[in-house]
Amino acid sequence: MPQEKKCFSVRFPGSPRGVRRALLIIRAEIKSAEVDNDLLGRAETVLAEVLNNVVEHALDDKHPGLVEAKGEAVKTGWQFSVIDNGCPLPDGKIPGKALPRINTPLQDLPEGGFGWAMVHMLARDLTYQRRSGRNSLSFLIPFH
Amino acid sequence: MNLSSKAENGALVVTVNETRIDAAVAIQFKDKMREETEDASNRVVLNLAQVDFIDSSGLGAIVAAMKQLGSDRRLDLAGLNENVERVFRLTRMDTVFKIHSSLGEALAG
Repeated sequence: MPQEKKCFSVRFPGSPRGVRRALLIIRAEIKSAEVDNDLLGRAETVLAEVLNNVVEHALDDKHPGLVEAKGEAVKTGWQFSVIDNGCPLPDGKIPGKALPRINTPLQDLPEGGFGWAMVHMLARDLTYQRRSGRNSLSFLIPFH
Repeated sequence: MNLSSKAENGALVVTVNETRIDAAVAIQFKDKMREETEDASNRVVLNLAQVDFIDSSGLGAIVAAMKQLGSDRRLDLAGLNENVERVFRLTRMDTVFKIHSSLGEALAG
């Protein structure tokens, strides 16, 4: 008998609470595939940053919308894609991997700008496509 | 956002009684931290033992909480699980905060 394919798809409203609920569902889906905690943690961090970015930047009052996250177990890890109908990424590009400077006086320490840096550190094969008014970002979280 | 605090060994220990500090609660966390640490004298230890996930907004809120304390008081962290610790390590924020493996260790030193 062929093994059941390990994959999932979640759609949720574009709000911080929606992201939280979606991440809990995704975590349960990946966990049921007997994935180790390290991959689970890396996947949750990357998905959280990507999904928060969609909710905070791509969607707004003019572009309320649904976000869809899909995941599938592949040979080398888990492949994910996130699709939304919001604004495109600035310049149609994935933001860079630079971390904000932290060797600053206390009051100048950054309180943001860490998200994409972590995405670049933890994800492989980051790909962005804009097609028919939709954004699609896909990436691999490797097993090791 | 449920926080509780208690004076111990000359420090104010603020315990996060939640499993997540994420974008949905980052602003509340920052505000609650301000309330809890208003009367703190010099050292605050943030006990994260119950937290199993933070995102970059949660990290930013912890940085904001440290800045709120000003330069006369410091914020140390204790009880980070491996997912939370990874976020501090990747963003190099582990070089900004003093991180203790447990609350006991934080209070012993």
